[in-house]
Amino acid sequence: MTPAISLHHIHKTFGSVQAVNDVSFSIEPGTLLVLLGASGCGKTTTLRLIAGLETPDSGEISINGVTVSSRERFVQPEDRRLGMVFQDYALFPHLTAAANIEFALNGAPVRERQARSQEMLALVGLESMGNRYPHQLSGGEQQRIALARALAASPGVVLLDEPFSNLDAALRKEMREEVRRILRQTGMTAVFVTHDQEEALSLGDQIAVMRGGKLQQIGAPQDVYLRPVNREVAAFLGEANFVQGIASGGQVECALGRLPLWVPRNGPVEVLVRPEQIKLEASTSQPANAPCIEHIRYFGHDQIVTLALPGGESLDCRTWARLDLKVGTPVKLDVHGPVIAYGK
Amino acid sequence: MAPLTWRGTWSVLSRPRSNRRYTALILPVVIAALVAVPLLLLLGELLTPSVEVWEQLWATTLPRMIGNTLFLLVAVGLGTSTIGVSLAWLVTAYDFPLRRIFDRALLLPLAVPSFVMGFVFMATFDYAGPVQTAWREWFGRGAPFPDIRSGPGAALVLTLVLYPYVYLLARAAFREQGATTFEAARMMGCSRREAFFRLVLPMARPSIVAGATLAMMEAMTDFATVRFFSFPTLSEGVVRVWEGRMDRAAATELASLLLFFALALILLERLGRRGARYDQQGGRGRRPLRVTLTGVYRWGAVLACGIVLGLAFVLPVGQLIAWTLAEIDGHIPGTWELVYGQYILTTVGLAAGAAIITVILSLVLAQGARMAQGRASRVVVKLATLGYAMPGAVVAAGVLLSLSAIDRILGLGLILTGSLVGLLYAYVVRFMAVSYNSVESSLVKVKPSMEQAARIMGAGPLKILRRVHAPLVTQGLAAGAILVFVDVMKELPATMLLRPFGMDTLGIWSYMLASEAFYQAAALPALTILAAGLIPVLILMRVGGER
Repeated sequence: MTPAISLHHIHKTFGSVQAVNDVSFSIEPGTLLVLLGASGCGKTTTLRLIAGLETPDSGEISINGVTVSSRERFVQPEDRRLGMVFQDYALFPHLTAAANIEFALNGAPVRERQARSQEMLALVGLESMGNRYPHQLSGGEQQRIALARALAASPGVVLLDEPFSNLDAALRKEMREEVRRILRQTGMTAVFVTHDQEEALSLGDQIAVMRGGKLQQIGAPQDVYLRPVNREVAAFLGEANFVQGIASGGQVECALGRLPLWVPRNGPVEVLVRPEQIKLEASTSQPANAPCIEHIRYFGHDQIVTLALPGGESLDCRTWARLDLKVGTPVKLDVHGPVIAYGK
Repeated sequence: MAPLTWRGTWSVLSRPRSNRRYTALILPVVIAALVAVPLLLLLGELLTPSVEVWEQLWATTLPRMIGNTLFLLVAVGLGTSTIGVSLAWLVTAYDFPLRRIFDRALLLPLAVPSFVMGFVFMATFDYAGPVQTAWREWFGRGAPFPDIRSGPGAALVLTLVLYPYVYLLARAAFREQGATTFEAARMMGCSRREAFFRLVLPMARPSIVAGATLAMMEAMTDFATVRFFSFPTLSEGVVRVWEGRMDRAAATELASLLLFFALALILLERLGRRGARYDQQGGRGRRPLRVTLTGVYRWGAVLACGIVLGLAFVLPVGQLIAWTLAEIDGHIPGTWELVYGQYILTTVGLAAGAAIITVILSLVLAQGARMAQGRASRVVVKLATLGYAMPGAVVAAGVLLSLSAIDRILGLGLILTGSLVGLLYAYVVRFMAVSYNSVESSLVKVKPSMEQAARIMGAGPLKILRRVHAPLVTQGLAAGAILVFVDVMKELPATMLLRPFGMDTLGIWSYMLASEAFYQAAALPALTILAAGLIPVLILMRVGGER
């Protein structure tokens, strides 16, 4: 199957800044790929390179099997058959919602355009808002119109550049579900840029983690969360404990005991333990040689319990909001599943 | 969902383009050169002075002209600052009867051309005028009355029509300051007066300096008012030497000296606005509570606003209307309408032509600078809009220098120098900044992401221009065109020096009649210019009025 998007050794510098450094990946049609990273990691530049709004210094990009960017040729953005949702939506303020959508349907007969824009309005649940101007719409509604506009012409790929960054937290969650539903329904290939790891993990089929212009890891959400390729990716994706240990083959010996490894290793390592991987039990042993509760951050639906390990390290554990744990009490702990370790 | 069939083609339009940023600057650079070349040539004159001309000038009128110009600049600067700032603070921080009306109406004098104010004042307050006649009747023939035909008289007239620049900018600055700063100062023990002088005024300094400099630039370009008041300045000198003795060399030398003054003024403005970004954090939109004035202050405030507005607007408009009615009354029907119609046609044609050319050029300039961005494009824009600070006589002399150079090269006689081209060129140089500002600020509404969105949806450059830019910037273009149109109608010095033979505008006509003391005949064209000038002022009053 031809990949929907493929990037081949892409480089891009702005002045002295290496914005995108040797990035290669390809994704299957129908995939929702999330480009994830801290600001300045090159994720937006990568998106704009795919869009044709930037030209790469070297490397090749192809979309649905057609080379759009290479040393020999460069297809202009207007000829790439893409849809794009911008961070500020970029709705045209002088056009109604329906007219904004129709703008994308260049060249189709008027009747067809109107029918299509009604269809798109229905898809995003705003049938009755077609005659409103952007300034008469709420942030979430503007967002939906921008998405409808991007999808209207059945583009080969949709690109979304941090589309939720202007929305408040509650609306963001709602829109996340909505966008996922719409993209699934249309079966569209999409590339979504965000710096929010929770958003990335809950939205993407594939997640590409970028850092300093380089692609660190690409894979399914479970994969990048449980088996990050390095310490940095692990720390960026959710909460992480790193515990010192000595690995030998498929096992590692550390302050939490002897744990199985996903990937066999040898020698001194740092072991990644996610807070929710740890199960706590109140213990009757002496505080001197058992982990003790040092600090509790209570959130209601759950709590983070910080333990002082006998060796002097500290460890964050996530538990349900039980009341039997108190600061100062010794505990017994149990780690779920295999862990991953990084050489030092 | 059924996919829509795609109608576009996978055309490969071009190789990767990376130097588009620089090609975008080509046209702006041409425009900037168009504006800057006349001024640079004139600057060259200043650096290569011809000794005999200067010796002669220095021995005769030059010292007096320089002294007068300096006096006028200082007096107008101080006068407009004082009146403008006081009135702006009065209507912002206090409440008194008619305040809401004064708040806007105090902008009206902006519509009165300074030379019109000049001859109305002259007719009213001169020895033979109604005021002095009444004065003598009451206090006897020898009763002292300040000589209106003097430097202070000219400065007063110019201050009265130019204070709105300071008023407008200071009022905006005061409003933007919001309540928080003022309230914080009061909490720390400042009285209202102290808070004004220690906080409000220093924070508004950049705006006040900008307004006062604008007023001073206008005062520097004026030659007609000071001539009515027998107070020769450099601008007046350039015009006098040019038309009187047809001595182009001496006039050019004088103009180059005036250019030096203009540059000094720009520098002074830069210094005065240094460290100028006092951005307001929070507290926006909320104003400190207005203090309601009581007793003598209450009516004092009304009187202060009333006197300024009366002298600067009601008096000239009333007088012009009265004269016009008398003039029409005394005329044989059918004759003056023809003459008047002819002048209107010339003026409107000239103003419209200049407005269209200037707006198109500033659109090209703004779009190019926007695409290129960066330091280079800022310099280019600065150069291209330099003319606003240049007196009309300077621009005229510069344009003449460059066009006669081209004429010499072409060798076909004075085809450019003596034609409309020169005059339109001068208007473009002088008023580019005016239209650029409104065009540029409307172009900002088109965010780069909108252009990109349109491209991604398959729209080519032309479609983007037609469907996205045009609807969004039309208003700004119209505003720019109106401003240039009105400014051209009011313009005197450059028109005076460059107009082709026999081509007179309403302004020139009115000025000529007034300088021969035919005030009554001069009133109708003056009133026409004033009415046109009211259009942008009324728009400004609506926009800048209170929410």
